[in-house]
Amino acid sequence: MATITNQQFQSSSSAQPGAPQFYSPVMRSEGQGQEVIKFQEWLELRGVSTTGDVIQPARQWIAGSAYPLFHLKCQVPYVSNCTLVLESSQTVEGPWTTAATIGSTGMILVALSSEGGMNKFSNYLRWRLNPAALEWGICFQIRAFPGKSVAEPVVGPMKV
Amino acid sequence: MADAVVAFQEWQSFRAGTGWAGLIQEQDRWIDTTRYSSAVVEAECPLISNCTLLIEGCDVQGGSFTTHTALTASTAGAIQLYLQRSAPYGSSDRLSSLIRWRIEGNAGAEWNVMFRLNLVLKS
Repeated sequence: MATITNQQFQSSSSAQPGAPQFYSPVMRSEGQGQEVIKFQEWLELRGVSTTGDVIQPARQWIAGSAYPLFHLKCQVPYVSNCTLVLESSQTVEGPWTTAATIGSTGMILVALSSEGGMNKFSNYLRWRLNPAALEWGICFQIRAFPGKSVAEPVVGPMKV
Repeated sequence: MADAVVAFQEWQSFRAGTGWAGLIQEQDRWIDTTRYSSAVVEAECPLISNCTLLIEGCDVQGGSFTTHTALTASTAGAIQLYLQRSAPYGSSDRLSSLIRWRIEGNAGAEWNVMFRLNLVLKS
């Protein structure tokens, strides 16, 4: 399960001495220098009508108790006959409640808050695919931008 | 500096609906080749439809990118591309400081691609 630590923002090259380096000047600077969590790398999934729900592996869930606000940037170039559900839970065991759903293509921004007033989430965050009883497919990527409170949004300090 | 083999891109598939113009590899996965004198790009692309997979390079952040190779449905399969920093080299064969991949989709149609890229770097 992912926890929000600086380690998560390091390059995954974990290079041995002398090994080539990935070019990684912006691991934390998508947007305006704000933190970014690679909640889901690009993924394409397809299934047939008998497939049940597909749930994100637990090691990739976000344990976001330190951050009461998340902005999610979801890129979905393809979706057919399924719904991408963002859901949260107070504990790892559940119960899981729906925070937001995505069923169309595009670059979709979702705001989640534990403080109410927006799509509600509590502590743990994961995605789940809910296919229809048809052949289905989806291609997507999700980035999460944590914020500390609704009053202190993730866009960074305003310069005047 | 020892020679090195980099998993430039593990097996990846993309699919996009009509109107999605393409994708660019994320910047933190571009390869910095400045410490090497030549490179071989090994591309495996068993599936590509209505799009072009481009291997590109540039020397300056924010500079223009040169296309080293472009894979389409008619050139899909496994290819190797040799790039070198020292002359003589062709206009598309000079090893750039940064290497990335990009997909140019046919926005007027659904497109998909599956590929893997390795990079062999020689000092």
